[in-house]
Amino acid sequence: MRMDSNNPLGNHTNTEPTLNSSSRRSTSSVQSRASRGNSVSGKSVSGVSFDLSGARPVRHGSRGAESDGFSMSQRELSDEDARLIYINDPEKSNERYEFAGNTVRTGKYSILTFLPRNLFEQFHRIAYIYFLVIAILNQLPQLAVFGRTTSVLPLAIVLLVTAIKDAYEDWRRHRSDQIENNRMARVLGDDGFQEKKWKNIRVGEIIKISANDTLPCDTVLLSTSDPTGVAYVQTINLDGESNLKTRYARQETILRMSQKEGMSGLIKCEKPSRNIYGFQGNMEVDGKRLSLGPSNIVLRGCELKNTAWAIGVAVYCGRETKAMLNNSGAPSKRSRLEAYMNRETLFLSLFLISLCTIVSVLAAVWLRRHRDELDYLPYYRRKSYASGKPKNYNYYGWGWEIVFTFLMSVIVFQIMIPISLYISMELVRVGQAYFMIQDNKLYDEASNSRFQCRALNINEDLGQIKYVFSDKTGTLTENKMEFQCASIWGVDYRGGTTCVQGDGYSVQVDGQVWRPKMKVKADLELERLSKSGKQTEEGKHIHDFFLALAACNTIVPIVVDTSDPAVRLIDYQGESPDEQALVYAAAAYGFMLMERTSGHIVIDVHGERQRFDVLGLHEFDSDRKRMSVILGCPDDTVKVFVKGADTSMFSVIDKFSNMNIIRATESHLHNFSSVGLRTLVVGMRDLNGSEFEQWKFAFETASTALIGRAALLRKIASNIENNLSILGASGIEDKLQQGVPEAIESLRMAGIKVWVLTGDKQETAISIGYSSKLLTSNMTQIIINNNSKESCKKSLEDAIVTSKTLMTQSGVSQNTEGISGTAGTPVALIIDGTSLVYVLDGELEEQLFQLASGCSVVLCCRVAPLQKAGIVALIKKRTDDMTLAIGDGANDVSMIQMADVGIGISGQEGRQAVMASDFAMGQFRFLVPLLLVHGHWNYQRMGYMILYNFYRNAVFVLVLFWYVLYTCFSVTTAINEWNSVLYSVVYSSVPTIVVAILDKDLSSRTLLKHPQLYGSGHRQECYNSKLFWLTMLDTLWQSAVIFFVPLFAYRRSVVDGSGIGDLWTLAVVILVNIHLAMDVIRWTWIVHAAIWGSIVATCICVIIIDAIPSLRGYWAIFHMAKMGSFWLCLLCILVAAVLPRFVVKVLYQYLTPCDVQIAREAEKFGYSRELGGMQIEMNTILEPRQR
Amino acid sequence: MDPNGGSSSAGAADGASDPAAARRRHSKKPKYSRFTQQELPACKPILTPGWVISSFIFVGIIFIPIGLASLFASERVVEIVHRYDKDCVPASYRNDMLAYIQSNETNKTCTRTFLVPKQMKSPVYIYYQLDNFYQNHRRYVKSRSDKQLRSRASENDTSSCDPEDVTANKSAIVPCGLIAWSLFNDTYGFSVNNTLLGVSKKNIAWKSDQQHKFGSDVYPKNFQSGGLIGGAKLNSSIPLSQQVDLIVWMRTAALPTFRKLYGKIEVDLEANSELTVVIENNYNTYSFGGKKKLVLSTTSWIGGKNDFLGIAYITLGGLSLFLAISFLLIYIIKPRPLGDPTFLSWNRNPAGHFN
Repeated sequence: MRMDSNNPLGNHTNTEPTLNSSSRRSTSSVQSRASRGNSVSGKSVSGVSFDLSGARPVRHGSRGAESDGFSMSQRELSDEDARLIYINDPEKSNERYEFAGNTVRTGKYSILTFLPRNLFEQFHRIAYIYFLVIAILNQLPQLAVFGRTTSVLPLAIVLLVTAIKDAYEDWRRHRSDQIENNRMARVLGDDGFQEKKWKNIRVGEIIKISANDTLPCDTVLLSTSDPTGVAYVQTINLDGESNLKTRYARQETILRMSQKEGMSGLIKCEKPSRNIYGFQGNMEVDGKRLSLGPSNIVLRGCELKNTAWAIGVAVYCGRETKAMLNNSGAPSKRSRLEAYMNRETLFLSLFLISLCTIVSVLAAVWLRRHRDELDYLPYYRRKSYASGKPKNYNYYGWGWEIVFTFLMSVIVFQIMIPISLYISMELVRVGQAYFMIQDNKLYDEASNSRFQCRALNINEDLGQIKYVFSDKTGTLTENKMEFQCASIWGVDYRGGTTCVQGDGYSVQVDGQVWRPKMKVKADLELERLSKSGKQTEEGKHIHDFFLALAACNTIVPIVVDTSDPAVRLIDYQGESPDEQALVYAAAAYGFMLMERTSGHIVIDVHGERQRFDVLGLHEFDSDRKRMSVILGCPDDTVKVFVKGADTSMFSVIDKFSNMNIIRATESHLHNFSSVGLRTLVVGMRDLNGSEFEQWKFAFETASTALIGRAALLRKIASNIENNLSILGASGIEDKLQQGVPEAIESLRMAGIKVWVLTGDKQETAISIGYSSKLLTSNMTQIIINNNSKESCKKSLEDAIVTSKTLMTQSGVSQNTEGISGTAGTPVALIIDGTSLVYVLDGELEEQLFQLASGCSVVLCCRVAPLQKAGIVALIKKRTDDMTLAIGDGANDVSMIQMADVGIGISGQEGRQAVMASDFAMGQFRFLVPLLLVHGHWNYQRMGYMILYNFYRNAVFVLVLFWYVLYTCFSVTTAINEWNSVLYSVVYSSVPTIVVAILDKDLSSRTLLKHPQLYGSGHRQECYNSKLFWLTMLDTLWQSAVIFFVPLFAYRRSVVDGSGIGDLWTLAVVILVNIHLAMDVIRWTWIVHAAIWGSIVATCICVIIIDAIPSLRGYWAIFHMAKMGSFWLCLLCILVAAVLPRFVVKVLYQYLTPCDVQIAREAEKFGYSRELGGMQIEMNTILEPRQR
Repeated sequence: MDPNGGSSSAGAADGASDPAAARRRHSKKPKYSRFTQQELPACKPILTPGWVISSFIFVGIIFIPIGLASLFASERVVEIVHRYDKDCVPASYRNDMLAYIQSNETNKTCTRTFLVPKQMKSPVYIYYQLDNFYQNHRRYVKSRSDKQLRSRASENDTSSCDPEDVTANKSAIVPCGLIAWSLFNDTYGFSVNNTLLGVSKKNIAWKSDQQHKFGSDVYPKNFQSGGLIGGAKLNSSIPLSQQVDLIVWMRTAALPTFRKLYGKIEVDLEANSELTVVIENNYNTYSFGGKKKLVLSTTSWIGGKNDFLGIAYITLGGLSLFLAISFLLIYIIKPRPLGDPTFLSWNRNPAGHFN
């Protein structure tokens, strides 16, 4: 939601800078006035009734927000900073500069560059560098532990797999590029417009676009089918906003284009930039210099709507278009678990180093003790006699031998650092993301949107969220505004029976029925009064009120056909959902906006079509917080209608007349906002001739001014929006989304603190707080509204004292609602943006944190986007707890990026939030299954997987290490080198990945039923230092069993190295798989296949390796397996190794069961009695009631 | 909210069925399958007391008999171990055994006599056992050329055989490498009650090695001709595939104390009969203090005489039974109904849980 959205006009942010024309002609309004009074009817309505040869219609307006655009375009662009485009002369445009062609390439590689670039990118990962260094070390002849090929193999496999994945993705990108590049567009050539492929379009060419076509490149509009040069575009591909936006062609170019002799001129504009809302440049046509702003350019990817055609000149092509420049990847964050894992990896590295040190020191001691025998030892024999004179063979002296032993042991023990874990984790996250995306519970039917995983490396963080920062509008609420009630002239119309009539209000046009697309509940009493006409005083005010609602906006009515030829629907398109709601409301009460052009609007007032000339329009800006429109009415009067936020409106309302009405309205406003309605105040004033002339003069001077035009226009607007008489106020309901109260309740039970950060008014925020069950009646509210630092400090300190006493008091008194997270009376903190300005300044942060962390609910109202990020940062800085931010609008972007996990709601308000987010989904309530179910699972799976991978690598390394102690510390391995290499890649990797993707400790039903189970993530139950050290201890035991059982069984026997090596290999592989099998919670056929399949595959591999005659262990496994002791060893190892872990596990589970354990047992043995009421509530989260 | 969803919900009677169908067609709703919803049928084993106790009892019941059986088998193996490296050095050389063994003049023959304790059924396996001989040392293990051993064509493939690869005049040694060079060369002759016993060398080497690892066209060449003699010499007219002692020796042992098969006696040895062994004590283990032993042993289904596995199995089985009883007691003394929600942390301790 946007920061200004407390104001219904709030959606006019600077996204839509507009108005053209420094040259406005006063004649237009004169002419318009001449035609005033002609009640337009029938056919003339649908056509534009202007004579093109005559004076040209113009729009009057001001727009504060585009001040940048104006001032910038006036600034001189120096030639170095500018690109020069000769209109309709692509040759000349392209001769000096190398502008990009319109070919787009999203593919990263070509066939030639694939190998080097892909390798380069892959080696950005530290893990691969480690692999590489080890492999290189192994190539040195003194250190060659493994054969050359075997040592490179694991790295090669990993590189290959990644390369294939990258190549496939790139191929898909290439294919879509190709489709895109070969689309057709019409380009002006020697004989009119001709079809041309997109990729051949060049800068400077003139392009014609028809309705519903997509723009092939960024073009400056020259002319459109609308005589005023208006074109409507849909930017859904660019920013996801589905409403229509207006773009304008300059008057001068419209004239030139209509003269049929082509067009020439020079455009000087800025270099390509990513800012899709900014553009500056100027155009020289016929010696005149015209400024160009963001409203004159249409970007690649937009669709032309509601405009028959538009002609423009290409200024940015291909990769230089703003759409392509914005085509950046997802943000990258690192998960908490991974950070912890790195700590443990450090331990393992230290462990690795100490193992290697032990080996090299012992080797040194051995060499020292046997230094006199080295020449004679049959198994060492230092001297070589081959060349006659004896010389040392492969012996470089004592010092070097130690160094070499150390490095060799690093090579042998390399998998102690679980490098493959990083790759497995990536695969697992992809798998988990797949299941999250596929989950029906996270699919939003309303917007037909699936869950999106945009960041692939923080899945498991979802299981440890402690703070949720939520936006309100569009996140908790639907951001679909519905007009609820009105206070007109001091009378509150909402008590009356409201109902939806059969078809709502409709009008007849050419025998067809036109009706508004959305039905609005109408108050019967108000409807009757509005129908009664403006004879009575009351009726007059009601008439003016609805006229204001219908006219004072920037809504464009669009008529759409329906399947019934007799019925057409009017769809009101506009940027502000509030305005849409107001226009639909006006239509429901008989004031139907039928047509809007730049010069006039047509409103059907109870069947009578009336034409109003729009003489001036002061659009919304965030300083004034109101907008106004100057209408020339059919009865030859000129009126200014103003609507805006209550605070800004009461300051411009004539206070001296109608004091009672103002008071009544104020109290109504208070009532409205306390039930959660968004309010607007409407006022009007008649303008007399001199006032109007004065305004017009000032307006024209201002709009032709070159410098500071925006400020001037704002001043003029403020001058005319004055001394208004109040008409009334409207209340618009921002409906709560489905399941929000239940979702918030679940989150709170899960121990997650929900903070709401909103730009809305305090009253609105509190009322939404109540309706969403965020606030409950038993909470004590602490409200902080301050205007200075000192007072802010004081109230914070007071609040801390209050909250402390509240909590200690009730800590004694028995409280049944312990689940809410705090003992005793829950405290809710409500703080507004002004106070936050002082707090986030500095010293007070600590106090706010103290206060807020003790509160169960925090509600921040009237906060600016950056403040939202500031609050998130406040928590992030001071605690270790995970934060999650969820929002749907551009103003939430900073917060989403700041939080550990950012979630975008793909809702009504554009896609900036989604683009910045890590995950995107359709509804707020999906947060519950996302966190409680998927988050919990992902955390549990990932935590276990990391521990297991540490274990599985360490146990193998330790087995190797024990053997080294029996080989004179010469780093020999009994285990065949192929088996060592395949161990982490093939023998034991698949089951852990499969289990980490598929295993579930609890069913989703149980997890949703008991949100408290989410606490296991908060308590870090699945991964912590204690578990790590316990696992390592277990590893030590298991490796010892694996090694020493065969050692004692085959002591003083004929067993050969390869045979016992095969036994160790099989024992390790079967043991680690059994270990995994012992911890698997759900055995599906896939898990069965993975685990038993791995064991079988290992046996097959060992047999195959031993069937290769050139290897030393040829046929060894068969000779081993013939002996009974082989099988006895294997069985003994498995049972003895697993026994301690099994006993500890049973004892732990039985004596001190964790919540997850009990819930699992309950799931199996069915304690269905306490399903109870909770179930019903959960269902509303998962399956919305069908309204 | 319109149940069919969306901002595009047309309110009026504009043929609601059509767009709804279209929407269903374009719906991105994930296809339902038990796999994608993670609801595959699954077995969810839980460690219930019954399961735990019965699995321990099961292990106990299986392991103890296995242990007993292997102990029994091991007991039935008759094994005679005789260390001779010291005793076979004449008293005059006891102080300088190295000189004795390195000298060409000394008489290396040595006769030892001992009683057969129990009847030994044929075949009786003859092993030599070396202690403190690291056949698994890195330098040693690598010092061989499998290619050279296998075929005559790669006779000169001696690169991995350092430091025993070529002779001083650069011609290849076959078989090359430290392993072959250090071939064991003590010999044993047996007689019982003054009748000579034949020592069979049949099948003492692996068939697989004879057939595929040692070539039948590869003959020893330049072997033990260098400055330093490591061990046995080979008859250069017999191909490597028939040199069974070499083949046995070259299957390097896993551990520093190892036995190698020397031969078999194919007759039964009666109890208390007197066995005389004539030993040619040639092999030099004196330089590094290695022991040499002669071992005569029968065999069983678990191999040689080794009580370790039997004891291990009995211990494990006993431990399992003990654990079964302990868990039984725990379950009786401290019963906890499985899945009892009153044990959940938020039910036990309603306040102050989340801190």
